[in-house]
Amino acid sequence: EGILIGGKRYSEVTITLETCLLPPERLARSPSAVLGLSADTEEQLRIRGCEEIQAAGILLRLPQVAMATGQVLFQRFFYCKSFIRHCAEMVAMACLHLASKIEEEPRRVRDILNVFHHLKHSTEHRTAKPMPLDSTYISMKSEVIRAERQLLKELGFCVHIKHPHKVIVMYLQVLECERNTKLVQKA
Amino acid sequence: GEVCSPTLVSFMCCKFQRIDVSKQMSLPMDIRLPPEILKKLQMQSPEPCKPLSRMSRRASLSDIGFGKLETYVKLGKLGEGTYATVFKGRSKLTENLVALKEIRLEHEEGAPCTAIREVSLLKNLKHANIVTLHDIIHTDRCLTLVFEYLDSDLKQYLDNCRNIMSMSNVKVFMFQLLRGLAGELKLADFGLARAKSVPTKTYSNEVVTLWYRPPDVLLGSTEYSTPIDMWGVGCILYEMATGRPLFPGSTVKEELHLIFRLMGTPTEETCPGITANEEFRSYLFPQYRAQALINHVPRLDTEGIDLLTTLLLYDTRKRISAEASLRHAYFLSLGEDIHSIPDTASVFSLKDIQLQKDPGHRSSFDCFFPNSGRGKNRRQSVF
Repeated sequence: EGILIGGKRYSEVTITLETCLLPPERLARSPSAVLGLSADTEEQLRIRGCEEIQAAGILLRLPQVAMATGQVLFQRFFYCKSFIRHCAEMVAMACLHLASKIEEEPRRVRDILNVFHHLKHSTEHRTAKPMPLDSTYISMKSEVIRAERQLLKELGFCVHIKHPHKVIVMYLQVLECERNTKLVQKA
Repeated sequence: GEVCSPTLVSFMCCKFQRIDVSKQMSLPMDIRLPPEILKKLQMQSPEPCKPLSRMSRRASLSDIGFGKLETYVKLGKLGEGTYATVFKGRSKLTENLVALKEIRLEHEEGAPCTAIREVSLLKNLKHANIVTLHDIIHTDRCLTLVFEYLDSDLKQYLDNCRNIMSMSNVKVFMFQLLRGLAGELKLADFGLARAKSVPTKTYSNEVVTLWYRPPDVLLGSTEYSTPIDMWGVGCILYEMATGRPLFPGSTVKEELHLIFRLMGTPTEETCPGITANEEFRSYLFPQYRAQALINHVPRLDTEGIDLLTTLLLYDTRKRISAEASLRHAYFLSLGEDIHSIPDTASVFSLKDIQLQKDPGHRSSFDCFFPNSGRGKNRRQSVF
């Protein structure tokens, strides 16, 4: 049974995501760390990316689950690839775009680009105009789509994520703490 | 019979992105981290560890030939779906026949939702009623999914028996379909698309067929929930039993009109909240009364009619679920054992479950379903 390749017999190779816990050695040496990025810069980039995804998701009126999915995708991607070779912002946009599709609330790439643009360029006093449809826009758009393809490839299409939030709320109910709104909100 | 092809997924066809070091500095320096996190980070000093095995594993899969288009020989077109074209092919690795599903990637919005769902879910599923996904080839213009090859899909099957299926086969096929749906699958995942039905584009730019859509969706509900599929299952039950599609509308309005003419125009009683639906009100449909389904599907028995009726309910809360429908009286005649077979076993692993010769069949049944025997590993799919 199976196929013989180079003296080895392959009958079945399955890549699944039964457990989403990374082994400690991979956590300690992320691809960015291997390329010499300091741990605290990496941490900051991760936090910043997740904050961008959250802020943009709110403006795009996405359900919270889409932002959570986008953030998980973002974190996982940067355990496959480094911040040095991949633009954090581009990946964040691709994560949010992909997450919106996964959670069945799709948003157009154009809207995502505009919202990120708005977040970057708006100040307290003025709101940024939508991005002009010029060559910069077109190349950014195709880069987001390319980043999305790379995300899918790196994560092996394991993109449907079971979030812990509901489980936490359930535990709190069991522990009869559901009236502790502070805890529930934290979940 | 025996299926021993590897269930494998690999992604090696993307080019490496060019290194852009300037982007390293895209972080504003004013982000402040809580001290305890900083301390933690400093404690986790990088230790020397062995190189990641993933790269080498991926490389070896690539060496074998997975994830490469050259590994598969195209033999001919099997059909054209709403968002993909399916070819018959042969794997040079296993010499097995495969189905190659080519999904065109429009550069507008990246990978289509349906394709992501299809890969992400099917990849982890091993079920006798679900087609196995063997490989994925992801390139710039196209995403190709390599599936196990099935001899016939429902449309071909219906064509071959001149649209007159044996009613006992209808029951077995329905059970298989519902078994698949009772798991993680959605009807859309079965690639349900008829060449004749007019595809339409949704707000998210996805191409879908109208014929199997429930009125709640046609009237603007964007909420995806399982009752949507169960409506489609009802349409398929009708189609298998009569040989004709149930509601072959070519526009949303026509589709709704066909539904209401048969099932009655919805009222507050049959469909709570309908009178407040702006879209429904704007169409100004006449007040049709519901017709008796038995007059339209005379070959279906009383239990079958009852199942069909509960599948085609307007109120999504009352529409029967996949799990509940497997226990419907319609399937009682299949026996009790059918509920205890493992997911990975086909219903044909039971001695009592056999397909009958279809009355409308051109020749003997076997030449169209040569592998439909009771091989335990044979995966059956209605689509």
